Amino acid sequence: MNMKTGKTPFNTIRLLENISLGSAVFAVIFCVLIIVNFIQVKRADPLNTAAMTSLVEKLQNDPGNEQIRQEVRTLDLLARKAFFTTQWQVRTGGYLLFISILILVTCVKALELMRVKLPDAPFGKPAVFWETRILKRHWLVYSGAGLVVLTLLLAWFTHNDLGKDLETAVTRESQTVNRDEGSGVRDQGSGNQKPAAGSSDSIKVNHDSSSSILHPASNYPSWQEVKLNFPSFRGPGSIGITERTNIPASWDGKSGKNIKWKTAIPLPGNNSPVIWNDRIYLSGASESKREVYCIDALSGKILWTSTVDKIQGSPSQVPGVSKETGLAAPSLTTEGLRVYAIFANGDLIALDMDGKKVWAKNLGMPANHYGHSSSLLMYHDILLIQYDQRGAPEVMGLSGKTGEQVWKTSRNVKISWASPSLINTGKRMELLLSAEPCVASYDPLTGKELWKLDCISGEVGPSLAYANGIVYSVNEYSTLSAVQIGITPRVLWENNEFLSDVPSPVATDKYLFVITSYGTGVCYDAVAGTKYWEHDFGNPVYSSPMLAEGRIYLLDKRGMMFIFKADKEFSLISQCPLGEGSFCTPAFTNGHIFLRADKNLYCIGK
Amino acid sequence: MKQKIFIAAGLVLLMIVIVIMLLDLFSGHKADPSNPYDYKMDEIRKTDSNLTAYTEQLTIRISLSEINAVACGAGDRIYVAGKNGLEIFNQDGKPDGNFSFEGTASCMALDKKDNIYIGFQDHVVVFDQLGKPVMKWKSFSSESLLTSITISGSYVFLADFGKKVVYRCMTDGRLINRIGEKDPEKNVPGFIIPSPYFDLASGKKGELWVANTGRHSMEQFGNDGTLKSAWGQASMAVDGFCGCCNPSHFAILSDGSFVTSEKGIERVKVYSPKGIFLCIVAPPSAFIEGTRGLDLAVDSKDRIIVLDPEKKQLRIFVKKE
Amino acid sequence: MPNRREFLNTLMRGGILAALGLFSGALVFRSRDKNSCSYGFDCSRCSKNENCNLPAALEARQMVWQIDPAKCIQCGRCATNCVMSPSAVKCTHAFAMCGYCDLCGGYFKPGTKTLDTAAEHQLCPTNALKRKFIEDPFFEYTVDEELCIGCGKCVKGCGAFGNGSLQLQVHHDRCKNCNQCSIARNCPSQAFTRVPANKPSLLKTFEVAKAATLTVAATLLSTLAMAVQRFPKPEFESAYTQPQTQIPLPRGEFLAYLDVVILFASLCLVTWLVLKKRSRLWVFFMSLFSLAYFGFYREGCVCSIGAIQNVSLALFDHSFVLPLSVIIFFILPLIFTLFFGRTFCAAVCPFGAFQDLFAFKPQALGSRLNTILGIIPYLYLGLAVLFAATGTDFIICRYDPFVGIFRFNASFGMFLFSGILLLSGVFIARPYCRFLCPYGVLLNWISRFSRRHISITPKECIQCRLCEHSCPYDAIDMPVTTKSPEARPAMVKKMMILTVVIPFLVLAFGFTGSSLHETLASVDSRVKLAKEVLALSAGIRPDEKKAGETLQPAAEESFEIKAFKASGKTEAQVYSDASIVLKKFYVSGWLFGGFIGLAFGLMIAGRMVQVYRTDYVTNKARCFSCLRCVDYCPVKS
Repeated sequence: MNMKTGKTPFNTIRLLENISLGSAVFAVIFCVLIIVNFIQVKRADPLNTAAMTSLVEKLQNDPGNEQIRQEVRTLDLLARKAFFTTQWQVRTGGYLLFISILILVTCVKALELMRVKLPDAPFGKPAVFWETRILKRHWLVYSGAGLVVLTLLLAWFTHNDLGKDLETAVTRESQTVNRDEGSGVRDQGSGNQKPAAGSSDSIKVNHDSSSSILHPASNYPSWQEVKLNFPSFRGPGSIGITERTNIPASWDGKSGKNIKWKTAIPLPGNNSPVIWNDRIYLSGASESKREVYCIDALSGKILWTSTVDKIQGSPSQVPGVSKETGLAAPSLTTEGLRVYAIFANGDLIALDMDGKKVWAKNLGMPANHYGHSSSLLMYHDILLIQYDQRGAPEVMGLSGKTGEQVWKTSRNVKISWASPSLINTGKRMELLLSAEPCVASYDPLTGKELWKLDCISGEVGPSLAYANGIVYSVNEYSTLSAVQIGITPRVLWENNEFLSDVPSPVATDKYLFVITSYGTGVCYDAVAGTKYWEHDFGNPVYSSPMLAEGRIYLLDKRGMMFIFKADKEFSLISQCPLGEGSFCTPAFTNGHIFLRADKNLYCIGK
Repeated sequence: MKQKIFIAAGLVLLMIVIVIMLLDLFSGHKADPSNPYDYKMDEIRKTDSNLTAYTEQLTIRISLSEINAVACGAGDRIYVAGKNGLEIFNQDGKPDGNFSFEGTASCMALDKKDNIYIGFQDHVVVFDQLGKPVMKWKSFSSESLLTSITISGSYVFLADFGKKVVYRCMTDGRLINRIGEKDPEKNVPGFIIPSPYFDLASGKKGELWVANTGRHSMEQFGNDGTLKSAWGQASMAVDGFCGCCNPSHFAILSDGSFVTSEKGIERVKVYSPKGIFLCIVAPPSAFIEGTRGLDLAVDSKDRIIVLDPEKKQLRIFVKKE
Repeated sequence: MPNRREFLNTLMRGGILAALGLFSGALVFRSRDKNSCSYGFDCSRCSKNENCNLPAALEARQMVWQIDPAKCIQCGRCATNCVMSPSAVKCTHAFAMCGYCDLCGGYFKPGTKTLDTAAEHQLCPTNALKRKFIEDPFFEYTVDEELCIGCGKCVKGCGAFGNGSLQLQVHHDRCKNCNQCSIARNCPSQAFTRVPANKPSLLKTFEVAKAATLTVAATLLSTLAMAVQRFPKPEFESAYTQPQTQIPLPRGEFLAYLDVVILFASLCLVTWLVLKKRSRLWVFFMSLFSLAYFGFYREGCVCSIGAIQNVSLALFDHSFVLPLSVIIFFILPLIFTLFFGRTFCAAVCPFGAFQDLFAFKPQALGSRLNTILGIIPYLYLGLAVLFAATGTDFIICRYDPFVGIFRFNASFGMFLFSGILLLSGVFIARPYCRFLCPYGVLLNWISRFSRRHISITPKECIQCRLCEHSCPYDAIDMPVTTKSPEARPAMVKKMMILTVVIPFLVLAFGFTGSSLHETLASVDSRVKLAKEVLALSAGIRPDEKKAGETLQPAAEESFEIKAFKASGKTEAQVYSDASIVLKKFYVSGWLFGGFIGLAFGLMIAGRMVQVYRTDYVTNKARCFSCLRCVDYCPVKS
């Protein structure tokens, strides 16, 4: 080739090289710029700047103020301007980047074409084919094996029994649906409507329906729904707290002030009233007879009485019980579909909301020298029974529908007279039991023991208190312990100055209130355990204190109700005499208290 | 050597790409409840609980669908009409009869003899207590949509959303005159009814009140259609009527004060006969967000009966002591 | 004279051709009639019920995405999740339903007292809603679609206080009609559905409202239902005429067939250039054209790679409409490959062309890396088919690295993603094609049996070794003149072992895959929902942090849960849906694993067969027919 033609390409090559280099540099710069700019855009939220919001608030306070209005507008304009310019910058930057890359590519490609290709001359021997072959084979095997192992590991770690969970859930729900069709309950409303409320088409509302958030088609109520009622001893979950409001704070049994009605309960019993919607459920027992009562919350008239008899395996002899306990100590429970009652001789019965027997069985005469007194609890459609008798203490879950055993877990504890509690730890629901030697937690759906902690001894009577992740157990001649629950539960603090052997404590996030059986009330710091105050109420107490609207309702044996602030200073709001002694724990609905005294059930309301 | 670096670089980048893909795919994007463009209703739905002077005494579950109308008859029996049927409850909320008919009732009223006047889209059918059609009026207009009916004395007043006018008829359906058509002479501004909620009721002295929702005002008319008086103001605040067109329904208590219900911010409130805000009956929190058509009725004991079509309930409110 | 290998090849070719024919035939003529619904159109028995678009699909030849306003809960995800920004979803005003209110819930911030157009009163974050006075007391509201980002604020306001005349709709002039719309994937209330392209709007009208009343979901519409029927517009005294609500129509169907024609033409041309003209330069220019047309003009859709998913979903879901054009896009390149090698990759696929441009400093990776990285595409293909078939997701499209660039429109992350890939492509030529492309797997296998594949030298090789390093894709096989060092018996033994090993591999991998099925399923939205609902029904919110039993304020629950509650769907339905999906995943987990196992087995087997060749030849499986090597060959025809 001659010089002429030889030269030009050389120069152009140089040129092209320079151009490509330049454009490459450009591209990089733009790239960086765009990224920076993008981050700015991401950061900026022009319409919700602090300045803007504050101005708008100001404006709302005095709408007349023209000046603020102007400020808002200018600020708004600026914000929008800034926002859109940055956006514009990003866009143009993008285009420029694209162009520069385009140039780069064209140059490089042109170079590829122009450059005289000098194929690299043959050098060295080509790799020995067969060796590489075998090598490849091995590598395949290795990588394959690696892949399998990796995947299996991944599977192992990410495995959760979702499949099973769903299966169970499906079966549970489908049963639900069938049931709904069966009982002809019409639930074609939106997801938020009330579930079947027994047979009656009318419900006396004793809760703000606003908060009744339900899952469609679950026949058992959601936990929220449960908490709007008073379905068990010491309220929902049996921890002595109710969310009901405008509770009366003054009455007098003698004068009848604020006593809406009082109804005589035929048979004696120390179980406390439980409430679902407009109905109150109680039981009573004599040596010969056992009965369950349903009482209309408005009128107080006994809607039905159901005699508990003809139960297979029900022992003929009367259990030996102490007077304080009696033959019908355990409170009933309900989930709005059925009512469940248990008696000192181990008779267990489920009645529908009209008092007809659904199923019944005898759990065997409990070996219990004072008499069985652990109340019943319901979670979903499972009836939870603490059956800590001598010899074979156990906790069990029965199907509310059929009474069949869903699970049973035997316990290594002494006899207990405490009642179980059901708490939501935020991660899960836990069933808490208290008996010498430990406080133990179970999964209410499976009965699997979740944790336990030795911190209590003796003949445990008081049930547990719970708030804010801390469980409080107490018993006479033992200790009061605050147990921080979690992966590894630990005792936060202990104290054995004031102890109770019947009334259960009650706790808020800040304070713990312990009532001794001889009538002294004590308030502790819930977390630190420092004592804030003690107060002698003067008379023995068997009833458990209830927390409602930030007040403690404490009923002593004479039937005197002390109402005081749940606070670090003791301030008595009022004390109201019932005029009749009581062992029982009050039950609440919006605006009403229901007290079971020795003979009568009282409804107290403004 | 150089080659090795290049390869390494390339591989690393490639791996990054693949890792990004896997992570993005399996990180199982937790559904985040936040919405950068959320329309914050919660704030405006909040109300001061001290203003709530009523408490819910009773709820009655309704099995009808497309429930549009509630009315109260003799002995405080409560009538609910919806699609293809009507249900009756006694004052304690116990079922007390029902009957079925063709079509969807859009409004309902009862006369002294407890005949049930039910509005169906463009015409009225009168039933007796047993559900036997006594009388079927002829259609007012193919464009009619009757949204409210009330009976005072020998007159029947009907609100027609389709025609944006109120009819005054005899009980046998003869049309006497139209009320509320735009008429500068009588200085009647005319009804502005943007959405199909157009309620009317007759006061204790038989005077006619109509909800002119587009103007957020309650207007009183004489039988001849003259505008007597009006009150009401638009405001999200508790003392006004919210949204584009409210009150969607209202009823009148024995002392002449008004019970109003609104959509948008679902709330039931009481105004004095002069139209001064008195108290809340049911705050927004008592209803499912988005509930519309809270028809109202008042019984002889001045209990306020709210029809909640979303929850499919009749909800009866009584004054707190 | 045809030797045994050629004969076998011909056989295989015939087999594959027949298979492809049958397959595509099945796809074209698959029954989309009454029997295609396993419930015989008794929707009450089917969990999909109103979410099913089968009836519509039966008529339609092409489907597009649309929002059902009756189900929309204005979660704002339309604004944030669309692949286009601003979103293809816009607020649309159904004037016929508008009340022309002065105090418009869609226009004004809640609590606004003075009703003027001041910035501080406007609800719309982008000022896209315009307010115009007509006459006392009526105002007209119009949407400036340029500004609207589809956040749905006004829609919620109007729905809450007014008639709901402001509604969100997909605007098909912006919508790319992605295989799996990323909004649809994240829509909590399944408001996003496919509708026939000839009826692309779901603007709430009387019909819809009525339909809604039939469903439990929208009882609140029932009152509207009667009214919307003939929503009387205000009697305007001024000469105001109500504007017609318009929604842009989707791209005409015939254009899809234009694409098909162009695809066919360019395939023919490229093949000719490769096999007859043997000109690298022309192939390069051709690739530029493809890049321009299929890439930047058609914005990377429709593409043969993505078509894999459409095809596999169509096989399992009868309600999924598979346009003929997509089938052709899937089949045609395969057929060409079967006869002429991967000429599609050479210069028709825009992805290939694009990466080819950036192969500045291609490095030979060496056989080991090639082999190992070569596994990735199999995994990708497996996953893609699995997720598509289960109707979970279209991951090929979701992680399509270049489509963003082609559109000049993607999330920042996506751009970064493409950037990184291109950068790696500077050193590792065509990284996507070689080590990711799922379609490449099919081409790879088919190409092995191709009839007339490009050869480096037009005549016989003179062993100059000049081309040895010419291929940036390590696709040149060197001569193997030494016969097998392994004695025949040894080989036979190996084969015996293989016959045992391959089934074992299939099983082993199958098991592994199946054991992973829950993890895989966790990608599926239905399963996700079921998980959340399970947690909820246990009385616990997944996002609940603190202990204690305080009721969760609604704000804290995810839109999925809100939508679920509003839908009136029972828990049972959700669970059973999810467990069905889970079962599907279990089965396809086995298949997926098995497939990978088989791939391994074959690869190992392939490394065992006897090879003997005297010349430098292109590796039929891996060669993209880019003709770089040809330029190096001194032998010219």
